[in-house]
Amino acid sequence: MNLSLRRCVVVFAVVLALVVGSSAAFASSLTIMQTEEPRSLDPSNHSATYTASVLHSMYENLTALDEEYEIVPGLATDWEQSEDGMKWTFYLRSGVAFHDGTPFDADAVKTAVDRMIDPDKGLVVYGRLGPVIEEVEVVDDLTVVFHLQDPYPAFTRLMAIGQAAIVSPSVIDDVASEPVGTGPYKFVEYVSGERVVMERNENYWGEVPEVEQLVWRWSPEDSVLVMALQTGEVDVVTPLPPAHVSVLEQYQGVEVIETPGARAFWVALNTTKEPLDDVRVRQALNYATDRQGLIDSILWGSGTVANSPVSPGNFGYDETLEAYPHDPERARELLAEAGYEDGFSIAIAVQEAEAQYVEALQGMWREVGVDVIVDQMEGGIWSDAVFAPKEENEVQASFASWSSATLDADMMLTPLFATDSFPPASANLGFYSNERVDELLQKAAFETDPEAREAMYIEAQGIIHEEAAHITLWYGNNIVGLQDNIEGIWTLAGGMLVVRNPRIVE
Amino acid sequence: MGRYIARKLVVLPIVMIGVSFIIFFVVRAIPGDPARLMAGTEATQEQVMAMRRQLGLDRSILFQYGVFLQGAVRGDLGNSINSGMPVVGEISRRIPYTLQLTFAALLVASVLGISAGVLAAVYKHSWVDQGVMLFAIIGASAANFWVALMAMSVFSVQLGWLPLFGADTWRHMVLPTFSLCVYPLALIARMSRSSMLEVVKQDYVRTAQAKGVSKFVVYTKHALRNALIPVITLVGLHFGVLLGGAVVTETVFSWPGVGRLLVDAVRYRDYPIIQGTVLFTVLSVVLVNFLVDIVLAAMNPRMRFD
Repeated sequence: MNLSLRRCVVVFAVVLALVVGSSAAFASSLTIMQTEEPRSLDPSNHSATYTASVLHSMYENLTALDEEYEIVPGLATDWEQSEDGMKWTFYLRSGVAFHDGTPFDADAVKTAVDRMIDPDKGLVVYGRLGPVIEEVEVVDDLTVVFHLQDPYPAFTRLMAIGQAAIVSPSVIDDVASEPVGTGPYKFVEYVSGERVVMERNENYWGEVPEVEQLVWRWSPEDSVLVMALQTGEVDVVTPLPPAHVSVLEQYQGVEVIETPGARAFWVALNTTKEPLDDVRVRQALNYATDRQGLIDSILWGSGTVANSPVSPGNFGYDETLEAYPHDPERARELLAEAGYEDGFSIAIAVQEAEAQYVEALQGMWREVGVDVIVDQMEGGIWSDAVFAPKEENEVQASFASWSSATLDADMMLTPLFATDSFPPASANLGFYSNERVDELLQKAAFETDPEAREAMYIEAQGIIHEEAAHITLWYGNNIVGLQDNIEGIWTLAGGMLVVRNPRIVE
Repeated sequence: MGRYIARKLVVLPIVMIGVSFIIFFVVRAIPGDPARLMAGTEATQEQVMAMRRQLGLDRSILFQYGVFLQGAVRGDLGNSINSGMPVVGEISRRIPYTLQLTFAALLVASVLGISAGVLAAVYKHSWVDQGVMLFAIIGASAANFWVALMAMSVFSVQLGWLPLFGADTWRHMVLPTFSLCVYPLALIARMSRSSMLEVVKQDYVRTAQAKGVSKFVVYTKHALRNALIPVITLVGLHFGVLLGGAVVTETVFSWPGVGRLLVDAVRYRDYPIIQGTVLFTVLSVVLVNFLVDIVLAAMNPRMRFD
């Protein structure tokens, strides 16, 4: 009796273990590792790409970008703009609810957008939407009208940026600690310093994802990303450093996806200071730069030579523009013409992590007699230095990169090259100023005819390129490493990972 | 002794207020604007100003310090600029992890280090001694970072015995503890050896030996007690260092300790988090030094205070 009872217990325990074990194996989960911790769970109050990746699984916008970077319906099914471009009407998707059951309707959109454009809230998104949107009007349950301050032709693209995600009115002031959206995954927990966990939203209006759970982790250490993929502790890593690509490609069971990105890397030249105020000198530096060489050596081939200040994938990008070829001879001629046959020295302000790129330029420019001083700075100090107002700005040249969240030329050209964008107002770091460019950018921003708009951006790009305001170097690739049984994950041009309906195939 | 403790306890709040004052002004004096770093390069000036207003950074520093002190006495150190979460919650969640790792690493380092050091002293100039000292030199000079990555590569990637990163089970602790203890272990072993060799030259040890007490008892009972005094001071000092966060180890192993929190906070100029973390570290160091004093006093009557 006693013995058989004990046997019963053992059998029961074994069965229990099997059941628990197998159900645990059933619960599909995906672990994604990025290089930094999310800075906030409030989609409207950060500007970090890898924070956006995490939040994009939970939140949605009125419009969305697809894999071809085209605008597609999101929480709005359709939209139209008024004749004068001052009014945009969005027709909302019906039957959608936020994760906590709050219905998604026109009032919810108004509450969410009103928060974004309220200057007193001091949110990061305010800088994007504040100057554009005048007022949000609720017409009926599923119709909202956005009244703009000026026409904004790329408005559907603006509404697709991660910071314009619609958060639930139920948590409107606490969204940083209680994220509630409408996306395919809903928030479970954020263990600071460790992980963010999400589970699939069974009531999702679109296709309910197959994978039940997402776990987001992070490590600033490149080699940890690689090892985590090798041990299988992590399913997806991004951004994978180019140096590790070839190693991982040979590793069994692991796959690397590399796609051209929309981030342009450049050196801004201070056009108000000698000798860079001379266009010939700026062109000479462009000719002295071996862009393909940089990509091959430092980026291990993971990039594309930049031919324009606007990157591919953006509306208005001019693919016909010809990149400055590597021509040291021509560079020396131009320098001689400008009176610098003996060369000169130039300090380039650069953040620590990017110093190696400037060091590569140092070698190239020495060939034409230009001596580069690598002025390496910690991030915060760099930002203070390069954004100093014109009178106080001591920076001769600065290395930086840029991508436009809207994938529209306006956000690549206006902040970087318009006279109104001199620091600290915006990021025209070289104080470049050209009347025709200003005029084109202003007109294009309000032009509602796409073709006419594109033509203006192409003309502006040509002028900026010719006047060599920047040394545009390369467009970086987005590199994702993943287990080869994972599908349905892709990156947006700016490097943001999209994990909305991943699949684990056997 | 009682007076000593009382004096320390009176001084503590004064130290904390002084430190909070200094750190408050120092973090604001470093270049770098939290609002701009948060809004990114793409931010406009208008946006940065709106954010500074919202965060209260547009007020005078003295006013800001007043607000901070007012909260601090009520146990509220403000909210993180980036995540918006309360600083106290954030730090108190991280502290146990830092304590865990610090205790584990120092325990392992002390036990192994003292044993190895004593052995090396007892068998002076033998192969044991040479082996221990060789390890001590390598251990003290190997970069923490390199030890950690090598350990991960061997034990996680190649052998698959231990998890690579995280802090979920005791198995996650093995590699970080190992890589963190190498350096103090080496120091403690060296210190124990030289201190032991010093002590065994003393008269009272010779007396004990002359009495015919066995070598084992002479070393472990008579000599060790005195030889440990500088070692305990060393462990105490190291404790303070590690409580401030073993930044490299925490970073490499994704260990959610205080050190990692501080490094990220400095990067984004998250003032409230920096202030909170530094205050916690100062408090810990003061308390640990205090404990070391008491332990030493208990061990050595000559060091008692009254």
